[in-house]
Amino acid sequence: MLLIGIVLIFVVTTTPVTSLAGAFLAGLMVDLWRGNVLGGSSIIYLVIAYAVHLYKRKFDATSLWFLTPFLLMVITLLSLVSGGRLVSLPALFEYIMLQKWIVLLLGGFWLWKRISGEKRLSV
Amino acid sequence: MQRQRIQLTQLFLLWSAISLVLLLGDTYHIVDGVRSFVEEKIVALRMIAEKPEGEGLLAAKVLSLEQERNNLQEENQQLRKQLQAPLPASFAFIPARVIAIEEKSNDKVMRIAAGSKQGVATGMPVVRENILIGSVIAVTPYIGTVRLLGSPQSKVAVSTKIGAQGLVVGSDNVNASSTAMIDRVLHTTLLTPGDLIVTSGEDQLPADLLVGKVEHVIKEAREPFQKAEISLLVKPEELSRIFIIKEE
Repeated sequence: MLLIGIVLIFVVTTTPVTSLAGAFLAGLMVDLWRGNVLGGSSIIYLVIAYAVHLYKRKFDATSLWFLTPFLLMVITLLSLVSGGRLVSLPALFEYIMLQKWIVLLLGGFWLWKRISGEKRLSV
Repeated sequence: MQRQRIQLTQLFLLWSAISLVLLLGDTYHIVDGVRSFVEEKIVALRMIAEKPEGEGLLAAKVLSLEQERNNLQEENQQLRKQLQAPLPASFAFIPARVIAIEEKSNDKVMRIAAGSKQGVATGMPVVRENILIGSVIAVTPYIGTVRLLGSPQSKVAVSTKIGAQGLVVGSDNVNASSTAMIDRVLHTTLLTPGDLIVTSGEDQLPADLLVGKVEHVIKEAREPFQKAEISLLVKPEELSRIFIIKEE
């Protein structure tokens, strides 16, 4: 679940070329690490990346107002696809805990953007 | 904007096509050579994490050798125990290290460092001594996936020593990896707390492997069957090495 969060943050903060390649590689690594059939996770991450980029064209995808419900939707869909229940308390708890990391990652990204922006100004 | 959208769609389709090719290739074992090469490195990497770090190179080497000796001693001890377990002589055991345990709301699995290269195949039972832990549901060249008895997707035909027959189903509580339920036990048969549950041998698993102990019997007059909460005899998270049964 945390990995989906990381992939999501990566996708919203990079260009389509980088994020689609990143999503593919992340999926490949997940399948190799878990011993799953290669390519399955890549397709899921690619669909997430594609959907985020379509949204990014008109709206701000780095906003928590988008990330939070989108992540919940993705997790619920994945849980349904893998035969789980629509809402389960442990999954919901895990999701709430994940939000903390998303906020931290976004904070880090915002800070990095600010610092790199200042550097550019000074040049 | 339109051009960007086309480029995004093209890229998405290209990567998806590559993923699909990989998916098909892996399903039909075409990319097994590449996969086993990468997996070998990954498994080695996952094992390194268990080794302690020394200050100097020599100290590290001593520690590494000590670890290796400890591992061999532990493996030897466990193999002796395994061989002393009351199991048929026709069984061959494939030892494997536990890499990780993954618990989700709908499944509980254990990843082990043994795959098709070591002779592991899907459906093989996984034990520690004569206690059933689960069965193999997927294998790659170097990694095996075992569905644990505590998984809600696991169903095992069992019986008690006095002949009550039923089905052990895992619990969907993520934090309860060592509990399960025995269901479909006829009201006419006696089920009491403390009863030992063993595999009945009806579902391709060997008979008489220990599964768990009855904790609390749930009887409802309206229901055609009685059920009971059972505690499994081993906690998967405490295991570092398991054995896969290969019938010869």
